[in-house]
Amino acid sequence: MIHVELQSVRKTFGSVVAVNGVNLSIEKGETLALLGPSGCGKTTTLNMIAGFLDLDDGNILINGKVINNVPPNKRNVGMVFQNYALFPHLRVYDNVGFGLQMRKVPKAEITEKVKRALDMVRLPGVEERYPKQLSGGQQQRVALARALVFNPDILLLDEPLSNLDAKLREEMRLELMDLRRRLGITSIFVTHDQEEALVLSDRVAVMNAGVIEQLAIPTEIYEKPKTGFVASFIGEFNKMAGEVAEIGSGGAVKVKIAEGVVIKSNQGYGGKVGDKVQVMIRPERMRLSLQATASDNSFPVKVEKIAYLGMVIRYYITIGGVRCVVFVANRGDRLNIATGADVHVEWDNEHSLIAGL
Amino acid sequence: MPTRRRRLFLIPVFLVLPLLAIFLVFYLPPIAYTFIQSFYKFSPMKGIIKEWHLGNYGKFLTDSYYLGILWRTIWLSAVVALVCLVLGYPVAYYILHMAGRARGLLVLLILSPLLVTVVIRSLGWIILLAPTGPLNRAVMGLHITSKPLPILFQESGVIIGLAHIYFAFMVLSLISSLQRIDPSLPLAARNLGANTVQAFLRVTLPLSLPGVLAGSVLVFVLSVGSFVIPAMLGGGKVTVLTYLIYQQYIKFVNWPFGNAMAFILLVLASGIILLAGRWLERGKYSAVFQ
Repeated sequence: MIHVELQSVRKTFGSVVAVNGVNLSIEKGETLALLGPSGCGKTTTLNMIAGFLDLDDGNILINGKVINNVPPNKRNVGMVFQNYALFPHLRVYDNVGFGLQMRKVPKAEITEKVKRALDMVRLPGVEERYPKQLSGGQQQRVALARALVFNPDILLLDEPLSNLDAKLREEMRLELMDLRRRLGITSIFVTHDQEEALVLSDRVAVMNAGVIEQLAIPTEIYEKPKTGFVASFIGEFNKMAGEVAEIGSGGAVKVKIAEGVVIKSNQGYGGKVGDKVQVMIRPERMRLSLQATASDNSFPVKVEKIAYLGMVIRYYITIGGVRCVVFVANRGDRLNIATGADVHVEWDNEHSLIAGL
Repeated sequence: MPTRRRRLFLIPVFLVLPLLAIFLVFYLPPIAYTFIQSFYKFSPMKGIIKEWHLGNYGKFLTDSYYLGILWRTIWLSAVVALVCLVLGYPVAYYILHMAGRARGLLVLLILSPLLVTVVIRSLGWIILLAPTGPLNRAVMGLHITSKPLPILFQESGVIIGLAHIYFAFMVLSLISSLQRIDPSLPLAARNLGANTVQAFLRVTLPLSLPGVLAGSVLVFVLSVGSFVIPAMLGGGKVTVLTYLIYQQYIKFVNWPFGNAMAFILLVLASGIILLAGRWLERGKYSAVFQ
């Protein structure tokens, strides 16, 4: 069942087009991530769903009803703001209870519900404190409790984890996942952090320049980026420009990068021989070995630089004149490869993605 | 490192030193002298007599004439502060939501009364509010009243004149306070189910209380200490404390009594400010002031 729907939503600020015809359908209970760089229109989209901004064109529907002209206070949408937007002059009790007070819920019930909401976000007993007396992570939990306590139809989160330090972020991420599973509430969150989007959402909408470039499940976004923008925004890619040399059956394609360097792929290509294309390979899909093995792609290279990051080791090499990087997971059996070593870089056909230029 | 840290610690001291010096040399001694002199005796024949007594204070605090004027000074100033607040809040709120250029122009417009000296400005008001002035002619021409409105040389005239000039102080102090409010807070209130009025009353207004307090105190203090406007627009009929002090100094040369009145005014005005501040800071929204 479709819960939230955006139909050709458009928003301009003066001469700047912030959102340019966005279409989205979000299922009941689904979590959708709006992912993109700053200025891509993701926050504007969220603000339009919340009712803080009017649409220039298009419709927003909740439960099949157009809500374009419904004021924010009548939308029954919970929102967690990027800076949490806790009321500094009110105690946590009044912050969390605000939505219930506005809905004229009896006092005893408010007390009970606030308590339960704070228990839910694992922050019991802070009712009497002021937001300032809480840490960033605690404020985040209060903001979450405040957005959920009045049983909203949908939950909106604006960069929910961006203000937390790395360790806390990981912890909150797991808790958000858990909470999401327990509550089953339809949620939309905005983020510029790809990991956050991949981990927390059922589907990811990658936005750029006011449009959705790709809307898919996280694995598909990562494995099969539809556009060059999605490919470059999510994860890393080694990109090599070349010319289609051969198109075989079953998706087999050969791309010539340089003299004597031909990359094989089985991902298919819709164009013709001689087209200029780009071959993209994820650094973690490449391997290094001391001896050449029977791989689809295998090229002798020299290790130029090694960056030891702990969890992974990055080896810099050059294939056909293009600087590439290979990620090798640090499994303890460190390859006995030093800078300057002659090795072979290898990968399988299916990891060579081909995009038109 | 300790010496370096000590030097860094001294920087703020150096920064306030010039102002501190001016205060200590030019401000404190006259005040101290005024205070001392307020306990001296005075005789119309012999002038100031250096004999200690509390008579000046006693005379003021037991005479209903003086107390009445003190009371009038205080409530007049309070009304001016209130008028400025009620008229200034919407203006400040509006200015804050305006675009850059228009905002600058409006602020300039609000500051413009300060560009004209107080005497000229008051003369302007006298002409405007006079029984045969444009305001009364308009009011009578429209048959709203048959007689000129009793504004000039009345308390209402003084209030108008004072509010006109101190309005800018109120608006500026409100703007600076409203500006500091995170714009997502009223949005959060709206999101949680508050309509615009509720969001304003529960979030924006309480968070702007420091500005309300600062602006009111500023206008109140300036009004209590104003002399020219009550003298001119009151036409000698609206006597305020500053006018009494002026009389004692210039007409009767009774400086000790004038000094005592000045001190009573100082203590009372400061006391009221402190109490108002305490009341707000200890109230429901005490967290705003921390």
